[in-house]
Amino acid sequence: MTETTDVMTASRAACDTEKTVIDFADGLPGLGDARSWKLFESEEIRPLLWLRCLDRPNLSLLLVDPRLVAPDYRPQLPKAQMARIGFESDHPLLILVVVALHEDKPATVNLRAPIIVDVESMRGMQVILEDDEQPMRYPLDGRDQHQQEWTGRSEPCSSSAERPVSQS
Amino acid sequence: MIGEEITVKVVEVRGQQVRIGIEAPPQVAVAREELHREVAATNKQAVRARKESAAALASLLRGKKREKGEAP
Repeated sequence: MTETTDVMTASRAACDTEKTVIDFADGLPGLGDARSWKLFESEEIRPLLWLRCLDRPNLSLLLVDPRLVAPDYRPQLPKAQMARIGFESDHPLLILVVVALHEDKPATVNLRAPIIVDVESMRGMQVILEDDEQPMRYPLDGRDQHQQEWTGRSEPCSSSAERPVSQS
Repeated sequence: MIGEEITVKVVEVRGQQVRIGIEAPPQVAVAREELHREVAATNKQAVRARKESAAALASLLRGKKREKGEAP
């Protein structure tokens, strides 16, 4: 569990420090060429995080530490690509994945295209892993419970991530 | 050779200049393009997440952790 703690500590650093603006030199796929993004965390959405676009208001992505979803997640990062936009190999990295909410099925995360942040230089990039075993839509609740929904197509899903939750 | 299908060749050496040719089957570029498009699609889906749904999902996640006996 130490690694998860590290990531969360790093994300906290990324949220708190003065230099919290992350520069995505390549933009994010599908979201134009907006470069400046910032991480926000709040009690309300913990353990999730918002990555908000500073160039375009109202544009934000929900992120999560992948190891909370897939504990064995060990992505092989494209070091050369990362070096090209200024990642330093000895800097600590923050690895997060994008959460997508769906109307008709449980929330998924994109394990194939993690968002990587060099926490010291505050450069960010969404990489696409070579490893085609990594799904783009992996159920946030874990593979076990939702295998049917995400491999097959027949069973309507019973639980929705968007159902209202009553807190006790 | 890079992999089985991509070849890098020195095409010409002239004085200080070297021309290099890269041969790759079209599907290599196409596959990258498709991947990029799929990531774009998931990102576009993701930016539609609303604050309330995010909070509900977060609450579910925290609940799940508690069930497992981890710190909330």
